[in-house]
Amino acid sequence: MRNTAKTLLAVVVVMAWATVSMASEPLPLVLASAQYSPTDPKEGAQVCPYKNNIDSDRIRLAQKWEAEEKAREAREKGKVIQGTMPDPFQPVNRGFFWVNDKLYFNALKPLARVYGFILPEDVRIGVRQAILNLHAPVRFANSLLQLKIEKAGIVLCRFVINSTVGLAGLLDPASQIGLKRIDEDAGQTLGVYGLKEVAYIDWPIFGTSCVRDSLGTIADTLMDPIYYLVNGWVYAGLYALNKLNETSLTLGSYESLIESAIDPYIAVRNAYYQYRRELIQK
Amino acid sequence: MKGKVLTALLVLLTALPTLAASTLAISPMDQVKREIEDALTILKNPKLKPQERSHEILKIVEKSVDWHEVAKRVLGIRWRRVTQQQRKRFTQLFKEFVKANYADKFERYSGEKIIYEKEEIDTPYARVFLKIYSKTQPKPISMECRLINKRGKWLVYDILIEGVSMVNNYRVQINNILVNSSFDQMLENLQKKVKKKFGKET
Repeated sequence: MRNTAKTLLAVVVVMAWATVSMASEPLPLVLASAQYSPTDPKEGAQVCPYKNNIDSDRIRLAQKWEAEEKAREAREKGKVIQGTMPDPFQPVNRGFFWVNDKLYFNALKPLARVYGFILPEDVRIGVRQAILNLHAPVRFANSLLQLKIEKAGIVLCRFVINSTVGLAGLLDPASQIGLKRIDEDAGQTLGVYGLKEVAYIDWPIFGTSCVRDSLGTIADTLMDPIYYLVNGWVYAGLYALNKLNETSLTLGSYESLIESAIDPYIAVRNAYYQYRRELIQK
Repeated sequence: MKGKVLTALLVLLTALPTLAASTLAISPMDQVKREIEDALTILKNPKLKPQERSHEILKIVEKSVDWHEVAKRVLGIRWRRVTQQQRKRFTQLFKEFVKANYADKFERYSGEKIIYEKEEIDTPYARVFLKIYSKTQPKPISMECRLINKRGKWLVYDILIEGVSMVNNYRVQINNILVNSSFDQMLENLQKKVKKKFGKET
């Protein structure tokens, strides 16, 4: 009888402990070590013959926890992009950022609204795809330069399928058979070979870039067959059309970023930095 | 004999919470999925006014985010340098700031399809990868939720869209502000922003 009572008592105690241990979060190291500290008046006063042994065990355990915690932090850090982009021209960049912001709200956005009002969304998506398709050779060359043979193959297949079945690129049947769009440019190629951003540049009209990506844009233009096939003005017109078309399709994205920022300039610069780093890693 | 039974019982009972936790606990991906789906149900509810919708969604956001972890990461190295009170005030203000910023953003949802791709667990951290398919985007938007397990519940502490971490973005902004102004000035600045944003809504 007494044994049953003892068992019951043990069960109750264990269950209570289990509930408490489930409900509370793991004790931070400082708290945990304080709780088991031998100077604790409740247990420290009674000298136990194995005290030294237990202490060294606790120290070992604490060290183990600390090491685990450090390893965890290190793992976490590896997953987060550290640092920031050098910005020696910040005062000039801030000036151009202001100019571009005004240009966006007073010229580009109203124009894009009118453009979007005239052309239905599906047509604008078609325009985007057709322009993208025209520049496919640039993505192909950059994939090859980065020795990404599979990506180069995908770009090539997409170009062939979309130029023919996709009616000169207006449609994107390649995506439907699993050939996803590939984003490769010379800025990324330079990044893959170790060139850092060098410095942030906010170009008037062209917008956010950096030294590396600006060199990349020049290289991309020189690699683009279209650049040699059409008149310079037509090429510039194509760029303008693309910008207008993209703006009409992504109205509100820039506003969101600006509105949710504490310092919009830094928010845009950092978003560009993180985005490009991610693209280069892919 | 009885002693052995008792020991076995004790061992079993000690193992129970762990067993229960591993079988009953919801996976990070399921947790994220449930929260997003709850939010989408609210968004698609035509009976609610826009303000009511954003209020309900912010409630979900509030309880699914670990604001302490967010604030700690946004401050980075400075977290250790400021007082307990400043930390508390910053955590509270930053939460209000984020909520005020995103209160009207949910209405931009226009039927985008969300695919829950995979999860990676590295106790107590987890990452859930999503793809958002939007007609107007040239390609699916990749999104990554970073979570931490606290008391058996997975809480979000960072969101990355196309590789752009929100926590990192705010950390760089705040660090930049703190180069020229004091911590308390930064707090004042943040408070003004929250007030301005809330003032706009009402």
